[in-house]
Amino acid sequence: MLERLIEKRPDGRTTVMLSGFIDETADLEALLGDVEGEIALDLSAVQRINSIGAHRWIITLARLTAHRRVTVEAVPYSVGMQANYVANFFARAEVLSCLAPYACATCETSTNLLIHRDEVSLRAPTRWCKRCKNELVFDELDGYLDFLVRNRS
Amino acid sequence: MTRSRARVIVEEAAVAERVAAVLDVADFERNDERNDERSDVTIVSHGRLDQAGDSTGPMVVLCKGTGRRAALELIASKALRYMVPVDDRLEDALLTILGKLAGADLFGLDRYVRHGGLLRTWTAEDSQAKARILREIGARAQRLGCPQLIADLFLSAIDEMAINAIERHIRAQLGPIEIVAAAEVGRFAVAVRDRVGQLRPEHVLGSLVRGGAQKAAGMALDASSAQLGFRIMFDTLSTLAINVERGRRTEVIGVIDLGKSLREYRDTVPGFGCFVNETPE
Ligand SMILES: [Zn+2]
Repeated sequence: MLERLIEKRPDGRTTVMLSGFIDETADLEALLGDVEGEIALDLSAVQRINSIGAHRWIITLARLTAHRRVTVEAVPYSVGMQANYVANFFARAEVLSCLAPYACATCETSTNLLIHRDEVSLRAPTRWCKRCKNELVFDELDGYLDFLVRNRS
Repeated sequence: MTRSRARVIVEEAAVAERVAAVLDVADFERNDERNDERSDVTIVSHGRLDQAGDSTGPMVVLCKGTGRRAALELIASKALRYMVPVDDRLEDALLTILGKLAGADLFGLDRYVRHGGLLRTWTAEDSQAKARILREIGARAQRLGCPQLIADLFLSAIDEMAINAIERHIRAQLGPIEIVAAAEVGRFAVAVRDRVGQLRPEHVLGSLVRGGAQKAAGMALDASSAQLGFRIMFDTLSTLAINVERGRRTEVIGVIDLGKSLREYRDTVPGFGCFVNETPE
């Protein structure tokens, strides 16, 4: 099931936080169709997306972004994976940030950290372990952040 | 009954030795010196593929050190049906494929968890049942020590396996599909079974070919999502095996091998097998 939480920002934009699963049961038109004006989509609580959900997502985003500004924030790992398969995954939306996988070799822990598209050069930005203060390893292939930087203006 | 014959084109001596040992166990005879005669199967290193052009029978490609992306490109460009990664599980994987090619039953998880056992069988008729089963499989993966993000990848693959099968069953009014989980030390495997048997290898391989186009040019809004589903399976599993008895049943098997970091996991050459029994209808 996919749910939404809507919040009006002081700048007039509307934040829509989606949580749950973008799959064959998700009614994206019902969740996003009635939102007016500029939209900031927060995807941090999306747990999984499947191919049927991705297909619906692409159709909905194409319509949603046709005549207004839409930003996407905190793209989780499972959505980022799929976004890399399809060039028009976010249509004309601006993808601002994602949750990227990092690992600490010392503590043997993994964590998802928010990174902003402006922090990404050829490589993932450097992050440090909160516990042991050592540098974390970016725990994905180099091409993983393509979806974050491919439409960067 | 005559023994099956295998032609072996492998560059590395150590790998060739391992292959020879598997041929002995699988009761295959080597056929290297008699290439004019028919081989039942050809086993070839990915670097020697150009030497296997005149081979007869199915071709099993041993792939080493290329990374996942290049391995998938190879499967797509050469329409390969059988790939075995050269790692510490080579013997088991090759034995599984040779057994199935030599005429053993194509179906069953036991060939993919040779040193383990069945955990549980479920039936699913709709999305709600699928969601509940995925939660249970996710909890099992965690208990087996699977890192969260790798477990999430595995669940993504099983979601695709299941939704395809459920949709086929709904269309054909066949009732619930079957989902089976099995495990051994360091390995977790799930099979999804339908009673339709429609899946075609060209369709599965087409997902890799079309995947490249969608990455570059985007997905058409009227495109089918099924090919994206197979692309996800290829990208998220340690081994993907597809068994089809044409017109009768399909079994899609997804395997994860544990003990790797996410990055290593994502870069690992996957095992692949697409087995079709054409006889019944
Ligand atoms: Zn640490």
